[in-house]
Amino acid sequence: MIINENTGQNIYSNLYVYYIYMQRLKLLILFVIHFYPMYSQIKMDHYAEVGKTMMSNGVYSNVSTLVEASYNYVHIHGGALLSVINPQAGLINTMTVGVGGEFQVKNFKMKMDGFYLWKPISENLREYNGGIIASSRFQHFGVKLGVNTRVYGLSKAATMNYHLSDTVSTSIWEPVNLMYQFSFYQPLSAKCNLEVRITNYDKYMILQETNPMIMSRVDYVVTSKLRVYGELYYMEAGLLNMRVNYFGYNGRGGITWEI
Amino acid sequence: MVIALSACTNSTIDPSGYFYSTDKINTRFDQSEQWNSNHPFKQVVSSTENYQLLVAADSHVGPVHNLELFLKEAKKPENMAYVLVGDVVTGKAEDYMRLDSVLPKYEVKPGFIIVGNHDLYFDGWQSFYKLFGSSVYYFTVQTPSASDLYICLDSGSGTLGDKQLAWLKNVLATVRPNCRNCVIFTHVNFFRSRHTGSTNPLVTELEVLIDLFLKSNVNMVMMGHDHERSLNQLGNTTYVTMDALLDGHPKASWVKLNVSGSKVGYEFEEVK
Repeated sequence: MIINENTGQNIYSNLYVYYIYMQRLKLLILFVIHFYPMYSQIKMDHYAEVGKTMMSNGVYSNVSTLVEASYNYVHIHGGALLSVINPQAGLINTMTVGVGGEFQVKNFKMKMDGFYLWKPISENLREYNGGIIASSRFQHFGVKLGVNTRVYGLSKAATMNYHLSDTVSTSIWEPVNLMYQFSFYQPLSAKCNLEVRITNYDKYMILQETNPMIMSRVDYVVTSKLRVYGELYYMEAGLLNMRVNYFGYNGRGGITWEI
Repeated sequence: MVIALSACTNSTIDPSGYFYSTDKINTRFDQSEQWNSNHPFKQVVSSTENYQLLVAADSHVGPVHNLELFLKEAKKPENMAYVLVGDVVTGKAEDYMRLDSVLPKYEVKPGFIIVGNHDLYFDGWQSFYKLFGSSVYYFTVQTPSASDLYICLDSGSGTLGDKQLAWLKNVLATVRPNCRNCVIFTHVNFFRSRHTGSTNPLVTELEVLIDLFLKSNVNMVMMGHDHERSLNQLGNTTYVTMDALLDGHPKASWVKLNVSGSKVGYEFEEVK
């Protein structure tokens, strides 16, 4: 074990954790590349975001890459959120993978998605989420409903750093949480669309069902395959539930294109 | 949320606070700090290494039957002090007055009170501040060989806010290392061990706090708000959500917080 004299941290465990991050990112990229030729359509979504919350200790910035490959009515997706400014832990903020399909019952179209989210909160702490979401889109309205289960778990580094015995619990499980997203869509022009959304989740974050966020989004269609968008999230603590208080915002600009 | 909104018909709820509040967490923190600057943090002295505190949450005065039983219990010699972890009243001025008429009858032990969301309804912060002053502070219990740290937080708005978080980090960095044990009292419970309409701090906030408590070797976090007991442990930190002390609550209880050297334990005692 090598200890950094200035921080008192175990250097070996930091390197090990970093190695694990890189391995997982490599696996994700290989996963998508491997399946690429099989799929008729690849959709990519890249964005950069800037935000500030009561807990972020200043402004933070992240970048994300999400890839979705679809074949007929089935799709898989994977993505990673990387911290650029003011990271909570290291470079990798959150990673996600998932699989889903489209169904039609009479005239009613819907999508089902299963996903897994992995977030290294710090060297010591991890957050794991798994869930399923059903979604449907109408002309002006969209609804997504789902459930997720969440685990806060200690890393192996924490077990070593804090000399935890085998009898100590190293995880907390929250069995069921409702996920929802209610959207209103309004075309602003032939190429520009507005969306206003109330939701408790985003691509890399799932809040408790009692903590809704408000989001507005503008899409601009550049070509049939390419569009740019901007999103603004507004978060309040206790909104619609207890004593409301401003919590934070998140602004985002991105592009999506289909290959 | 639906459950919470349906509770609007209950006259003890102030639904205007769901959308707009006249007091903000950072303003309350500033006022608490101002009060703290004129009132030094308290030290309770125990002549033995082992001692006990009595802790309860969610008494929701109006009714005071269970609260009086709790205060009577707190007077017993084995208890060094008592702590009320938020939602002490409904927030109405008349209920603060009622509480103020009850507390002096039992004020033989140091009492520590923090604010919950209900205490803030009906502009209740004004009454709370007038009666109790700060809702963000710490106190210590000094035993013959060591000192134990107890930190009281204001989570009545569902967030600690950035100023209180900075204060908490500073206390954990500067005071905690000199203390044997550390216990945190905060009203809003962290984890959703069951499906409920009662809310929690945002996940974004929990990630920061859980990590901070782990790194600071916090022994125990005691919370209320959910009205139903729940126990979680993560590493060396135990998270205890208490039953409500509210009159008529089928499982109304308080908690005996036992300190025995470097061990911090708890025991629920149901109201008889």
